[in-house]
Formats: sequence, structure tokens, C-alpha cells
Amino acid sequence: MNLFNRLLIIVVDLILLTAASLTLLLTLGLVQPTQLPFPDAQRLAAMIESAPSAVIAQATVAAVIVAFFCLVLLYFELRPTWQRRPKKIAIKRDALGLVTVTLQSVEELASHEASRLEGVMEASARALPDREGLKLFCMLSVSPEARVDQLASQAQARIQEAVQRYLGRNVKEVAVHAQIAPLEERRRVR
Amino acid sequence: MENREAVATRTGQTELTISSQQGKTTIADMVVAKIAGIAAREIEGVRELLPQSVGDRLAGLAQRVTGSEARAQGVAVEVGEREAAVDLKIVVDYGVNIPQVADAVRRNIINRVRAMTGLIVKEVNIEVNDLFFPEDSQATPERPRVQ
Amino acid sequence: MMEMEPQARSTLDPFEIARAVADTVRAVPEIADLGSGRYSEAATYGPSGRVHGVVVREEPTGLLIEIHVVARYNADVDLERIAGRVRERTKEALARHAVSARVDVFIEDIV
Repeated sequence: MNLFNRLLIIVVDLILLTAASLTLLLTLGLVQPTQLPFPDAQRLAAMIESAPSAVIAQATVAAVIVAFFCLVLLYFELRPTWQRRPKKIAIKRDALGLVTVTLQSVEELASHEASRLEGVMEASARALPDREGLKLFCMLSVSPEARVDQLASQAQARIQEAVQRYLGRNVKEVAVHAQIAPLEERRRVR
Repeated sequence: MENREAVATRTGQTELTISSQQGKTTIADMVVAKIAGIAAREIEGVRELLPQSVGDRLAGLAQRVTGSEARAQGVAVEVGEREAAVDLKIVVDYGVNIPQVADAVRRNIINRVRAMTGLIVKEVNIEVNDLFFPEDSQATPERPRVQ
Repeated sequence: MMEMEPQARSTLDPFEIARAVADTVRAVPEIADLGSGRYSEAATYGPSGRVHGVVVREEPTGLLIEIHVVARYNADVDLERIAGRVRERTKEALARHAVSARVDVFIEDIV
């Protein structure tokens, strides 16, 4: 049913998009009506010829708006699910339904836990779920007085324990990278 | 004997109608969604409910034009004659055990909806969208948990 | 208009019936307010304004009254029972004016 609804929306969307594009081509004068397989092309040509320029401009603007709206809608309908990084992970799935947690929450949780350790100035975490389980990658910026390697392993244990406790889900791997420099300069962008 | 019916209205939303000789009683989907929302917020550890995101709304446009979902403050419900399904997005307090809170939310929604409408909730899908850290609230005054 | 059977007719016109019903329903403790329909189409119109949430209809089977309500949230009370109470009170109030009707209750919202 939902599939049918979506197909319907997509078809209507495509029709509207086609109409808007044709209108644009005509009003901008890029295509003559006689070039198109319209039954009444001659009359249409005469109509466009005689229309005041304000009307043409209005039609152009309307067509642009419709086309834009159609494209946005089309994007949201057809947006491929396999290319997106999953935004959430399931922590419980049973007959009563599904309980999910957004990755952003998991990341916040991990970085919050790490930043509560003495000597950690800043923390930023990245959660990477895959088929085998949840992996967490955490960057720390630590104070110059701290022992970097010791703090890193402390953070690793703490993150692992906290996420497992709060999410009730096993964490496969926690990787921690600690540095004395602030995080800003080495922010990983994917 | 009463007669229960879930009918799609002209607006595409469904309503639960219970008929007896005395007259019909209709419960709008919105009411079921609100009960579920209040039931969720009653649970300690649930900070707030979140509305559906813009992406969800656009992607669900077809459903709202032709389908049968009612939304009230972060809760979407589907209502049949005897059964209902509930989807919700929540923010939980930092420090709670999420599966346990989720279980409590499910139980409370099932009980409340059952007690107040007679509907059996077959499915509750919960998305924990964000965590609430107590430090966040230092700038803003504490809000009451239950409104 | 067709000629009516004597018992079904009352001295009240639909607007007066709607006003009496609205007052009765508002007095039910489980009811927060009257609703107004999805497009605020549920109302009865009269000379001095309109009554929201109550529709009075003459049907072939007799008088039909639709009441749209906003219920108060109370986890211990079944909404069907609240509707039953609204129906009961309405029928009692109408009986005082020698009116009998079928009563449909729409629970539109809950607060």
C-alpha cells in the first residue's frame, strides 16, 4: 500500500516536472511550440507570441518554483537507502517492535564519558556500526601534564563499559586516539 | 453487543467507531496518539518527545495524503478496529538504561491505550533520538517533566 | 416539510436543543470542552450566534445529535464510558424538554 502511494507520488511528481520543464523551455524561447509534438502547436505558438511579457515572466517563475519543489520531493522519495550511513542502530527487536538509538546519541554518550576523565580537555566520538557489531572511534585532546597512553586506555575502558551499560548492546571495538593538541586541527571529516 | 469499526474519513485519517443501540462513539486517532504520548512522558527517564523530522515528513507525504496515520507531538499511530501500532521519537536522560526505559514506555503505552480506548497495541517502535545531559539545563531553568 | 408524529416533536428548535446539550455536556466533569470538528464544521447556527461542537439533525429515523468533545486525560477511565456518560446526561436533559434523540459522541481530542 505504501509502495503504491509512493509510486503514485513519484509518477505525479514526474508529470509535474515534465510540465514545468516544458513551460520553462517555451517561455524562455529555447524551444518553439512547433518543434514539439503538440496537436495544437500553431495556436500555442500564436498564444505565446501575443502574450504580454509580464505573463511570460510569471509563467517562468511559477515553472521554476514547481520544478524546484518536484526535484526536492523526488529526492526525498528516491533517496537511496543503501548509500546513506545508517543514522541509528537497533538495540532491541522483538514481537513488540523495534527500539533504536541514533548514532549521534551513541557518539554523544561516548564523548561525554571520555570528557569526564581527569586530564581530558576535549573528546569527539564517531560510531560505526557494521554487520558484526558497533565500533567506536574516539579522539581525545588531553592536557600536557597527563599521561597520554594511560588516559587513552582509561577512556577506552570507560567508553566500552558505559555504552554497554546504557545501551544494553555489545560494543565490538573502541579505538581511542589521544593527542595533546586541540582537536580542531585534526578533525576527521568523512 | 457492541460493534467496533475503524473507518477512513474523508481526510484520510481513520477513526475508531464503536456502535451500540444508544448511538455511536467515535474516537479520533489523534486521541490515541495523545494518550500514547502522555503515557511515554510519564516514564521516569523520558525527557521529551520529538516531532518527526522534515525528511520524515516529506518522505511520508504520500502516506499522509492517502494513508492513515495520525500524528500528535512526536507520536505517529495507526489504528485498526481492535489493534493499534505506535511509533515515537524520544529524548532520554543521560544515565538511564535505555532498553529498560524503552520497555517501561512500551508497557505504559500498552496499558494506558488499552485502559482508555480498549485498543490492543501490537507494536511500539521507539527511536531514542538524543540524550539529555544535566549540564545542558544549567543555562535554562528546569522544565517540568510532565506537562 | 412533512407532518410530524406528535411525540417526536418538541417545542424546542434545533438551536435551542443544541444550546441545552452544550450546557449539559460542559457540566460533565470528564469533559474539558466541546470540540468543533476537523474543519470546525461541527456547529449549530441560530439567531444569536452558534453552538460549537453540537450538530442537531433530523433523520428519517428520528432526531440525531452529534456531540464533539475534548476529554480530560484520566488513565483510570475508559473513553467509551465517558462517551456513555455524555450520552446519558444529554438524554436526561433532552427528556426534560420532551425530546428524544439518538446521540453520537465524537471524542476529538484529549487534554
